[in-house]
Amino acid sequence: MSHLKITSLSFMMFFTIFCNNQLNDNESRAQYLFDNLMCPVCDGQTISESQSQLSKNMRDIVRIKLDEGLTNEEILQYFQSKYGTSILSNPPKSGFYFTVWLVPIIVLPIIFLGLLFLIKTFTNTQKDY
Amino acid sequence: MYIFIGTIIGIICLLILAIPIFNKKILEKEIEQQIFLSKNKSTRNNILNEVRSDYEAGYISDEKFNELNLEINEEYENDDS
Amino acid sequence: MALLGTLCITISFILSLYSILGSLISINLKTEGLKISARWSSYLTFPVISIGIFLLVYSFVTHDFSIKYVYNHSNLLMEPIYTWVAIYAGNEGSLLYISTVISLGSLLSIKSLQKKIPESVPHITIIMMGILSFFLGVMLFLADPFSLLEFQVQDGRGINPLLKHPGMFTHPPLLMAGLATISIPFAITTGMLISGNYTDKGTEFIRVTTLIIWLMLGIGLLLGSWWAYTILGWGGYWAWDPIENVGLMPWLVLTALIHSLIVQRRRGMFRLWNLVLINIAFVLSQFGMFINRGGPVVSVHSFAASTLGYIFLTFMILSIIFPLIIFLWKYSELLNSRKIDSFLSKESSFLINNFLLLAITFVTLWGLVFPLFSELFGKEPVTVGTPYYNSVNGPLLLILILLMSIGPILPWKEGSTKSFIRSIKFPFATSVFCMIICLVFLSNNFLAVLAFSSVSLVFATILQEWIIGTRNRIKHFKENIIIAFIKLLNGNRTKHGGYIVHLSILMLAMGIIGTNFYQIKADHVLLKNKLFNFQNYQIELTSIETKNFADRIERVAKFNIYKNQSSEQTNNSKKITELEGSNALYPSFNMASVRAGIHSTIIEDLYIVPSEFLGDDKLLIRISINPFISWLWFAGPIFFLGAIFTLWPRTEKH
Repeated sequence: MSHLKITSLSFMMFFTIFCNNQLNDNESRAQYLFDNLMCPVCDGQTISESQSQLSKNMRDIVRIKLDEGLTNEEILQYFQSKYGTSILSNPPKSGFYFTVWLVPIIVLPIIFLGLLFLIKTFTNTQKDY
Repeated sequence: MYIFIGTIIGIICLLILAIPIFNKKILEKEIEQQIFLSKNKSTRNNILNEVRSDYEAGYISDEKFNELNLEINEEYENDDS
Repeated sequence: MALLGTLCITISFILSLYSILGSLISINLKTEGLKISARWSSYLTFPVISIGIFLLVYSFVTHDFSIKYVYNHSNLLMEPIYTWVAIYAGNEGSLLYISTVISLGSLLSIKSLQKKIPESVPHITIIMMGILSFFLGVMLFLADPFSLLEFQVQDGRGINPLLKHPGMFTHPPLLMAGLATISIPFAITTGMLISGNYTDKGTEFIRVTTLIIWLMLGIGLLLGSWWAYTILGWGGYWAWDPIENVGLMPWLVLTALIHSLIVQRRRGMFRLWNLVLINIAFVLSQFGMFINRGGPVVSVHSFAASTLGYIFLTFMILSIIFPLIIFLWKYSELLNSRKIDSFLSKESSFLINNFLLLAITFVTLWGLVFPLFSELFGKEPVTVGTPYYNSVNGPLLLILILLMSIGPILPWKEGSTKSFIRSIKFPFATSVFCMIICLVFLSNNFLAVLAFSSVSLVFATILQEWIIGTRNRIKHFKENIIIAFIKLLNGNRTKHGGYIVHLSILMLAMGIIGTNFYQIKADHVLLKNKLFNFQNYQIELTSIETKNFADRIERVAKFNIYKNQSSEQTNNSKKITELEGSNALYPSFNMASVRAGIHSTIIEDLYIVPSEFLGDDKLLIRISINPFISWLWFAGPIFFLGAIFTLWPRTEKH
């Protein structure tokens, strides 16, 4: 089993090379916001991905707002009020839209419990074949 | 010219399709072939080999090995008709 | 010549209809001659439609712009090699390709099944030909690839510039073939049900076919990701775009099916459940066709929105209703089956595997249709994007990975808690050890740490299985270590091929975890010959060139890349490579195609995209570091080898 430990250890060494510091400055916040805003004129791309002029303008606006000191939520809300809810990559966690999260979170555990119940019911209690 | 080629293709197909209906010899040959149903031996043997290999690797106990062998032989016997 | 093409589609269509009618009549009247003739008719659809597809490719290669489809998707300036694959570029050509694939698949399957389950073949033929006639009919009446252009032209419009990539040779044909051939196991199982002869004699064929389809889809999806990564220029490989999702969902269901087919094969259980899974996979593949042509959801992928969408929607609904009726009518045939022996068994772990995969499929589907759902309720339109899928599917995937370490070590039928703990002890210890190391070095993200630890858990489990198995063989057979290992793997290709595939999934997981949690990106304006520090690299813009081509204007930027040789500061850096990135504008398509400069290592990719050229010596770049992303691509060959190994037929007898 020492072989196992050595192999696993060397495998783990890969992770130790990961000492990258996550930037927590305006640049990485900007990138985060780019990933959370959709380009209104492109087919399903975020403004991070899109090369269109409108996306470029929106990216500039995000940076300006960051310099003005707004929080991430405030910036997202700004765009939402200007372009509508569909500008966000993620449905807001409020009101009707909450169902997008609610449905999986409720439905899946119920089905899982049902599955456990089925397994129990259809389990042989004695070997009789 | 292309319509001509298309018509030829259509006629060839028609001729091929008419063979089993009108040609008794070919019809009988096809039916004969059907009777030789291949038995399911090869699948059963594959699975038995897999179980034996697991046993040789030490993944399953003697008892389980016998149990599984019996079960698989029984299962595939029913299908050999 | 276009007329001949349309004629071939017509003849194929008639042949498929004759096949359906002939089989139907011969089943009821028991006329053998007609039965064989109808079967042969289904075989003939293939040579005839092949002539058709050959003619379409020929038209592209010879630049016959009188055909509308050729005009819309090619031009004289195109590199000749792309004319060979331009047929997949649009709707009509794809339909022709799909029809050819279904026809070929049908031919091979029915010929093979005639020897195994001849009593069900006429019924299977009806269903396969029913599906084929649908696609042929759509082409004939609504989307003829050979329809002529109303006016004279000298040159075509050209192919979408994003499609000029090696991926075009493999991703669309593989993906479409995978989705189209799901109709084969569907036809087989439904056919067997209708004929009243649902036996296990067809199971091995279904299992092999499903594996091949799953392999095609999996590789197709991965190639699509690789293509997106190298051409779309945003450093991403998966966007949970509706078209991507619609290819993923059948693959997930097929993954579940492959696992539970193993149970059916080994222990004769889950027959009913497998039938349900095949039907779900088939419906999802039809759903994919609908989404791709219907336009109810926006995507970078969709062909144009059109009435075709409603036709496919109808077909999809029929493919739910029709099997459901058959199912309710005949399902009692499938009820005699063994029960599960114990909760702590391989069988029940496969059930949980199925549940998780279907849960992920459900979440993906729900996210895909939610915008439509909320529109139905009169709410403002909304987007469901990557953050949603990450937060809901992420945990499910994590549990699935954990399950990969448990399932393989549980025995068939019944396991004991004692032996389970004994088997999991060392892998678990290894993963805890990994967790500790990760927490020390990567403490900023507990989820990532958990994910990496799970990967190491599974890896340790597989390693342990192989070490124990090899050691036992050495002990009993006195073989040397290499022979013992090879014989071990060869002895149970299903299991060990599966382990190899699991290893490839682990590699995928590493790439996904790395990029998901540890990607770093930034936008920066580079000045010529001035060094820019980014993480451990320095980037120097060395030149900007503009190249004018007939169909595009290309601006190319070249970079020198230096890397710090130690973790100390910059004085110790060495030039490691030169990269080139380009931005090409295609005026006729009003589209820009961007290529990134990528420096790949096993640890990470350095990825540079020229976003905006601000002058002769100024360039705005998007730069990112993508940890472990090459593992995603290397997983592909391993996945392929593992699946092929599982499939490879045995030649020895018992």
